[in-house]
Amino acid sequence: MAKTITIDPLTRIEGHGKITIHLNDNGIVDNAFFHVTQFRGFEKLCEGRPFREMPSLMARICGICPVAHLIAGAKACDQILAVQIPRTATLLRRAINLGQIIQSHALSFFYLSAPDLVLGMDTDPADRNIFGVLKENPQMARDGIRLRQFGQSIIEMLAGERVHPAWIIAGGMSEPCTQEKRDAILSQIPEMQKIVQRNLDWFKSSLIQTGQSSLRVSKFRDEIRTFANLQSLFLGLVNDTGELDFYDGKIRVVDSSGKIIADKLEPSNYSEFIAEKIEPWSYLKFPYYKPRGYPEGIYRVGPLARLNIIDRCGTPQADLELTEFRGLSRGSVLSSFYYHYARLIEILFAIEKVEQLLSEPAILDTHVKAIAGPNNLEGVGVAEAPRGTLFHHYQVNNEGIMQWANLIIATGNNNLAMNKGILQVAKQFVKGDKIEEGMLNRVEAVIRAFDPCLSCSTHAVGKMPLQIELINNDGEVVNSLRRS
Amino acid sequence: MSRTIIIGYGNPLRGDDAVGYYAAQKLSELVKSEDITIHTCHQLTPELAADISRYDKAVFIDASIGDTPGTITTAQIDPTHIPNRTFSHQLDPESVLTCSQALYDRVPVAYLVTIDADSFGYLEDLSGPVKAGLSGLVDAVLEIIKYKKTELMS
Repeated sequence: MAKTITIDPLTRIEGHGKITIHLNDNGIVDNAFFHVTQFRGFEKLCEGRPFREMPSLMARICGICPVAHLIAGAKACDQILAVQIPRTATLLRRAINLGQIIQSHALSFFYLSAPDLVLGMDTDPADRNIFGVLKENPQMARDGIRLRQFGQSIIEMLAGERVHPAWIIAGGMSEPCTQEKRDAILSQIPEMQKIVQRNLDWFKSSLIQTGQSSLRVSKFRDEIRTFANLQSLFLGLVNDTGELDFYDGKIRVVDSSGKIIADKLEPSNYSEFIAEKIEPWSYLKFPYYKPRGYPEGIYRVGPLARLNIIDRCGTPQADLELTEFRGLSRGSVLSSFYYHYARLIEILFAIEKVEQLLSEPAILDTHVKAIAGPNNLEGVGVAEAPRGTLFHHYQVNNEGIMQWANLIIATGNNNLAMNKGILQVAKQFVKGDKIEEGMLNRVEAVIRAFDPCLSCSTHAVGKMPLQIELINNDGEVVNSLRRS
Repeated sequence: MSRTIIIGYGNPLRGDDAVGYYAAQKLSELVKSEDITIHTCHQLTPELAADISRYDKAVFIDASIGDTPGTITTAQIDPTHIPNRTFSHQLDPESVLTCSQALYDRVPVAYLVTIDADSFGYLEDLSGPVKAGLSGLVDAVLEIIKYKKTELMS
């Protein structure tokens, strides 16, 4: 009898969702779906509001990455104002965006995924959590806390608040940076570099093959092979010299072989190369690369994609790490298990880049805001959020009142890949109608590797617990596991 | 000199959930001492373990679910509590203490002061019973930290 397994709610990710795994009559995995089950609809509720409210209003979408929404929202508003913001404002926006990258990536790696990586996928879930990590590897737990503190302190020192700062506004920034704040951030850089390097070394050591000559395998061999290890495009922003850029640049698209198939695409014209498909079983849309159609236009964004599309990072230590990372594959690095690795390299890059930005004399300039009224009726703001490329598109009337908005959120960009990923991992680990904890966790862990933020991507509230259900061909639930 | 940290937490967009947040704000207006730090946040996260490890006493203020909205409860927190739950993005006070002990080998004497909530709806205001109990909640914290009314007057 054909059956379906449902995982609901998913754990250790942001938002609410569930997974269903469909088995055929022989108990073999036939299909799998990642359902996002909540909805908030920020695009609708912003209609009728003054456009200047958008950065702060849109930042309320998420408590983890509000800065990304502030940045994209403010950039869209800059276009509506038709201004070039002061260079110091750009430097400050870049710095605070990188502070968010550090804290968000640290949360993903050290708090949410470290239990799987340190303790193993098959460990009892009672121990496979952050408390298990602090027993097994307290140094790593302390490192995660310090990196989070550092990222948050950049946001708090520059913007006044850790969550939902109102510092980034249409036309620039509301306040300049002081020398005291800048020096306080810079003084922590050496410690942070040491911390992230220590954890990069730990992660790379976990990839090293161990055992007798003919059995030398990484302890994550199966996860590397099956965690959304698939052919896809990779998409993101690069700057005009092909370097990693979280704030600005043009869109580049690279294929699985590493070949650039589109470059210097204007982000404002996103609708020319990205389209969104709606499936009836999820509130999360399915964006795809338009020239290749649906679903062949599957692409990935975020840390793995960014490291696959760039020519170089643009900072010394991160570039050394990128060279090593590129050694994993002759073309693009395809396994989504390596999102974790890419996340650590991006933290290193962000720390180095923050030092560069805050060392520029112009960073303390007090001219940080361009003043204007609405001069355009439309604006598009694009930036790299921790989870990938983020698009905010606004239309206003002559009085600057919002008429329409469209958001393409980083997590949404990865929706097709996440769905293909759970099918791949389920085919590897799910056998028959017996649900085992290790299997359940691997299906969750492939989603966790993408670090999805479902509150952002559906604009929904809440955390993401996970449930698995096993359903037969008649739609009857024959087995389920639920965790909160 | 004994050092104290007061942590009031909750979501200001979810009605009475924010009462700990508001109580901490009120305390920051009343209490002026270099030995007392007052912190507000939406939720408890592991980073707080590093912060509280530097203090001798910690007071957490939160809303609670109970039968009689406005009822105030004070309890000392057991630092030996072993949490057994999945972390997503937030912790409870016991878990913060556990992290502090495990990672920094130090844990303050800690208390949890709560007030029973009436509503956790999408509101930016407290319910009547909780609003009426806010000053009592603040007094309960002052009692724990032994901050005298006379000190408040000066």
